[in-house]
Amino acid sequence: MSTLFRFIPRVGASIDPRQDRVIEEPSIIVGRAPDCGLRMKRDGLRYHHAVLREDGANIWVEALPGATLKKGTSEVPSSLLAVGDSIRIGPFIFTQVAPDESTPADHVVTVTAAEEGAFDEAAQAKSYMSRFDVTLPNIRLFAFALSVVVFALFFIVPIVFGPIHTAASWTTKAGRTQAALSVHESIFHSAALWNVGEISGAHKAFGTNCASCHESAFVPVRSSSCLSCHQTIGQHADPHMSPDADLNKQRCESCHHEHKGMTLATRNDQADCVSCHQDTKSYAPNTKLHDVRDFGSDHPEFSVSLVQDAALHTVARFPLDDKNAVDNSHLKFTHMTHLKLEKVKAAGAKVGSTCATCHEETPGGMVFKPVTYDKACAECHQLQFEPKHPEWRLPHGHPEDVANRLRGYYSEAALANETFPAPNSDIFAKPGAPLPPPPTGAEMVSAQTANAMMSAIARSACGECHVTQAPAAGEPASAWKILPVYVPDRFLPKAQFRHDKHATMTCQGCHAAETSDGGVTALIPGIETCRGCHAGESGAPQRIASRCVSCHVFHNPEHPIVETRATEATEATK
Amino acid sequence: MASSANEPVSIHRSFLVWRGGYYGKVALALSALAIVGYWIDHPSGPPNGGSWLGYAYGTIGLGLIGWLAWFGIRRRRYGGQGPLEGWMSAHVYLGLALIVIATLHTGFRFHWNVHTLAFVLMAIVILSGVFGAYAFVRYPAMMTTNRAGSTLKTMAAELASLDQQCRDLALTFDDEVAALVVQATEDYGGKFTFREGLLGRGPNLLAGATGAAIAKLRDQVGGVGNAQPAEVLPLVQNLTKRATVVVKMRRDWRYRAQLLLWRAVHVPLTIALVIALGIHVFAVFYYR
Repeated sequence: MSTLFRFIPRVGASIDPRQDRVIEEPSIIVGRAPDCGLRMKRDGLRYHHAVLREDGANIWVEALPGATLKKGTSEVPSSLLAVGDSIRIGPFIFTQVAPDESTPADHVVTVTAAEEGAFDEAAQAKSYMSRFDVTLPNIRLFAFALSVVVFALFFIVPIVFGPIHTAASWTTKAGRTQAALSVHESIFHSAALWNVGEISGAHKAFGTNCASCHESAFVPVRSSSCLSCHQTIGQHADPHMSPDADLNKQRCESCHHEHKGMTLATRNDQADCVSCHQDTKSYAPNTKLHDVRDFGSDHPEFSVSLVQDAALHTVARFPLDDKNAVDNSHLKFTHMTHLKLEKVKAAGAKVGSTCATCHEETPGGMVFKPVTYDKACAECHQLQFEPKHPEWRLPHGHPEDVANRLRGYYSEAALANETFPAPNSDIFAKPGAPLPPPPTGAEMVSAQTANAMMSAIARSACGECHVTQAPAAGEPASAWKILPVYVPDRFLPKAQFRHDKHATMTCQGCHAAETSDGGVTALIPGIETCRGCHAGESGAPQRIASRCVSCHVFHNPEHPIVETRATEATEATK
Repeated sequence: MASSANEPVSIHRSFLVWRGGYYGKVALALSALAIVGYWIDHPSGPPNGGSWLGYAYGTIGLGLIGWLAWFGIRRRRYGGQGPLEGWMSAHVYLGLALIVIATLHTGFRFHWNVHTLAFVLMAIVILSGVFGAYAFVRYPAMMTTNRAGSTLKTMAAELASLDQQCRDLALTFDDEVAALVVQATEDYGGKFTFREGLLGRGPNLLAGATGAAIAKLRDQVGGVGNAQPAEVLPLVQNLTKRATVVVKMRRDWRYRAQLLLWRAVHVPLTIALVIALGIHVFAVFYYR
């Protein structure tokens, strides 16, 4: 029982007789392991791959666990290896051939090393070459695709869906309007794709429609767009007096910058104001304006509005330090007297205890409500005129009402047979002269009324607070006049002072009311008082940096821009 | 004082030091001027591209972008005005100055719009360009050092040869061990990723199949397999050597990738930038 194995190094090669091997075993294991009867070390052959069994006549091949055999094209677990049969064991082809005379064995099996499926070093090296190659993405395709996306998203979309021209072009096509706008609103926000910055809060309401302000393409926003809403906005100064200040020659946009965030960015630097106001005489020789450069260091004393004609409500502005300032408000009042608490308290009144007793702030804090007699004065100044009857009081108001009240009082007194000394009557009649007839009731009432009127107006009731005017020579006593009172609601009209913003201060901190013996100029704080807390634009230690617009407004409502435009347009057509 | 004899004498002159970094100085002066101008200018309202200085910077930026983009066409041409090296130098330095001027042009105001898109595209283009310039200056030398005299072809051949040797040596061992070794020879670090090309972190072969094979082989010595150290050692050495070649080849790949791939960002984004810039200019003048 023996088998001769003849080895062929590769398919098609001839037998290498030096390798011939005879194995005299009935069972031969083929594999790489040292204990294999037929041991071959080659890639693809398992450690113990198959067993060859000889039963005396035939050779059987059987795959060991984990290995497979291949007969023809099919895999088989075991197979008869008859003469002329071939079977593949791993990378080897086993073929039994018929033995010849000289064969020193019962069976002859050729073992051919198959090349297919074997590891190919050169091919592997080539594969590494391509594997480690750097493959560039398609740059042109990427560039093209990216450019198309950018162009479509940021140019086509805003033009198609954005309100580029006017909203009207959409609204006229009613059917598409809502759909297009809703797509625009909800998905694309295409106006935002071109929007250079957040629109200010006040303009957001119409800000998504670019055409609201940008009326024409490639043309800067016209002031007329702004003025269509801001119709009451004023010139800075009367353009006829100061042609340089005529805002019709400017664009709103040159000072007011939109798309800069929630707050409209407005030019408000001191330099902008000072560029004109540092030398006003140079372009307006007749101006009464003082030059100003900085609130902290170069600003004139405040000018206070003083009444010139109370009847006509005319005021004139005098610097607070002007000794010749004239105030014709026709009111006799001093804070000092009223703030002497002992006296006021002794009178049993609540007034005078705090400023707020008389002065009530208005919402917004700019001005105070007017001080009225009924609210502020009546409690102490009760306008009694007859000590015997303190319940009788004069009405506060028109002199006719006062006269009627007096007439009423004296008529009642006459009916009650009360007698009054006849005014201006001679106590001692001339000797011998007949006594004048006693006055009639009506005469007495008239006389007493006239007398009391004169007394009240000139001295006791009215005259205590009001400036009165005596009748001219020849006029009756009833011609006494109370001159009209006028107190302006703002004394520093050129500044926007807000009391509510200064709520951390006490009133006396600025207003010297306790020491003021009358006169507006003594009560209104001057610039030095303000400078105690406020410095100029560049600030100062412990003081607040304040620029011109901290107190002053630029647009003067007395000269609306729209109006001057209209006037000029009319004049131009004439 | 004198350079060491061992130091290689480069016949290559970097574009960065072309004519003593002439364009570097030009760019620096331009940037400094722009910053000073921005500092002393007080436009009405917050600084923005619409003030006269903003328009000036915008115009300069536009011109620079046009000129820098022209380089993409110029570099493909022979001849022309001046050496390409000088153009390259100017391209790099003026590109850096552009980011200063363009940033000042924005007035540091950025929003979700086409204007900021143009700026962002420009910034990415410049940053990718900075990377490209860095790669061109650094990587050739690093590649030479890494390759240590070999080429990609010889490295690939070496790797394949080591594969063959490993497979041959593995035949001594049982199926399980042999299979692990074959797996290890098939490990070249896995797929090449964009991330690896970008971040430059290669795979760790010892954490994969190679490590597993080596661990298994180590266990064979005197253990279950009762293998001799003389059988195991050459295989472990080959596997380790193979891993170092793979690492070296991957590093080489990264250098080559980085030298090439930045252009995949630089060029397409430049074209997108030119389009976004066109829309930006159109939009701001359309809505003046």
